[in-house]
Amino acid sequence: MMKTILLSLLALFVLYSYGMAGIDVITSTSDLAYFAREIGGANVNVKAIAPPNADIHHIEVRPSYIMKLSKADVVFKIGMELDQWMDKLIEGSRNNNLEIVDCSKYIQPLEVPEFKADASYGDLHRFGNPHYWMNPYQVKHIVAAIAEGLAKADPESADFYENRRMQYLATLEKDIDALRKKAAPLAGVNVVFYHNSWPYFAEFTGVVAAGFIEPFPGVAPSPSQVKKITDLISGQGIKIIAVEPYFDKRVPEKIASMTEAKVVELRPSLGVDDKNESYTHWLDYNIERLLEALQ
Amino acid sequence: MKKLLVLMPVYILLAIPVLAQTTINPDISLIGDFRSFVHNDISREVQNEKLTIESPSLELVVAGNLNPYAKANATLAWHGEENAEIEEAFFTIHRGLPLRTNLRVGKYLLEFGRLNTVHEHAWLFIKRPLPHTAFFGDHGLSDMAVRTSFLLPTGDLYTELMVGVLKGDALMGHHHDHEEEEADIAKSGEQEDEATYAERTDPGFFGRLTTSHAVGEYSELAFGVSALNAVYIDETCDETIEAIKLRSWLLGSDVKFKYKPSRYTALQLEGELILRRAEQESGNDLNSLGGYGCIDYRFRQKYNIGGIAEYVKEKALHEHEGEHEIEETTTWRTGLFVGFAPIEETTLVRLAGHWTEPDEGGGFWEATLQLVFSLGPHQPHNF
Repeated sequence: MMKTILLSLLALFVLYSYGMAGIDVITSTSDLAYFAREIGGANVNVKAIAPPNADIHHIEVRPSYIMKLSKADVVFKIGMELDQWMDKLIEGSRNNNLEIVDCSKYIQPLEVPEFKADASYGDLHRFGNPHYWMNPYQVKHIVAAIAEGLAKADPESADFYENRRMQYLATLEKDIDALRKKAAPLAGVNVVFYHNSWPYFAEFTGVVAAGFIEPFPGVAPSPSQVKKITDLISGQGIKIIAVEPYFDKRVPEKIASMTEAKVVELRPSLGVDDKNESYTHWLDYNIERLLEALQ
Repeated sequence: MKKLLVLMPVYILLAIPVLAQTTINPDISLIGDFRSFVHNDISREVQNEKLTIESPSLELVVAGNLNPYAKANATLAWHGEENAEIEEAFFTIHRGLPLRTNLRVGKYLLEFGRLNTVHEHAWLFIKRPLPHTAFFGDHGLSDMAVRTSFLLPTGDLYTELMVGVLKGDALMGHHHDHEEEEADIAKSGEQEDEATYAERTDPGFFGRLTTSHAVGEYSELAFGVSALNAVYIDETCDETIEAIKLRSWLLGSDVKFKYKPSRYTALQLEGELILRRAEQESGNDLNSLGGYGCIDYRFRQKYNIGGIAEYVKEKALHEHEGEHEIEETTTWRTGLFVGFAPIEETTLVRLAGHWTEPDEGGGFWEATLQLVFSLGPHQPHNF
């Protein structure tokens, strides 16, 4: 009897140790966390800092976040000055063994300013628009950076990560074809967005950003901007105003009430309702919302 | 080949500004703080019940990474009509040290309590709390120091321990009232006795233990205790420095709670309690106590409204007919403030009203309007 108990305890310990094994990964967003899980599989324990429905521009440097990083092996960040708070967290963690990976390193950026991008243009990002994960064609660049980062932290499993990267991209390619077909009616459709988060999504779906409720990135709408956008929507017969979940809906709804447009909530990050949501499911959700609004 | 050799320097020269912009130049910020006020305090030199516009305060901040392991920070400040001074100049080794430590060396606003390390323009309220003015001076507890900090292995609970040595000027404070006297001494050619100066710079010691815990997804609760031991010189005394040079302790505790459910709304509560214990040759130590509590509610992202209550009971030696006497003063102050920041921290307008109740009676009100601009790179938002 005693022998059985001891063996069971040993087995539990081994299972527990196995469960705890693997490398600890911290990502700035739920999107990067999803990709890290896809590439890392059972070898990684992944946690994201920003909640999926939070505005990534405005995450506060909380001490409790620092503790997550202090024990991590790898950190994946969006880069391009979007999640600058990650740098503060990394610094605060004093983790000398942390492998820091900027997932924007291989992407093809859009809207890189070819002028002196100072504050007169609002909260403009000097290295281009940083919401690159919204175009599935950029995902291959993201997962390349992730596989590389995981391989550096865990060289013995480099082939494992590379194989999973290839498998994931093969699966994604099939999903992309289906999503492109689904998004076909959106090609050329004018949409007014609240914030300029969606150029990569627009590149994939073909929707056109006709205007923005914010007069400049990060600047709340003024009465004159509301009038300008109202006139734009009425003049061009625009049917959709797309808003992220964390923005105040009052201004978009006021504009919608004065025009024929509908307010549609689009999600910039996955995992809002279901933390196991897949990337393609998230993309499908946003496409579906726009198609519904068109009808 | 010859063409390549000729063009190469041109390419290099063209590339330098681009590389310098992105990899070498530090972040540079300029912060302006403009204030005007009106009050009915008859004890002050400035005429009461008339609007007074203060000279602007300016801060020039230069900060950046020295290398992958260290960063440097310098703040040059002009406070109204005072001369420019180096408010902070320090470097921090934040990476590469063993045992999850970091090291800071230089002159800076010491980590005593929660508010002292934050520059005035970034506070929720306008006026420096009474205990801070009484114990730290008009510009905060700043000194030359070497300190190290440890991140303690307390699981998910953030716990940081800091210990340091300071030059020993910190507790002398910095009160505007005495600058004129110092200037008069300088004009008259009087020199401070070298021995006295040496005594002034007796090194001090300080330490801080702070802990912070996430309370749900949107809240964080932080506690801290601080201690500092240094020479204290009571500049409010009329007598010579030698007569009142004391070894002194500062002990403090602080708490902060912040609930931020969205980018538009936040509720913040914070407070500090500070005890100053100044040794006396007679053995009758002088104990002074002060504290403040503050509540702030931010709404629609741009607006905030809040209140603050402050208290200080200060004991100091004063000379009366050749004898040193202990004088105890108690002051209360309460205030309400509203703020409007149309585009984050780049521009900020604040209005505050305060009611001060000194010990000797004669309570007075004061209304202050503040305008702050901040020119420089966008910084992450701290908890």
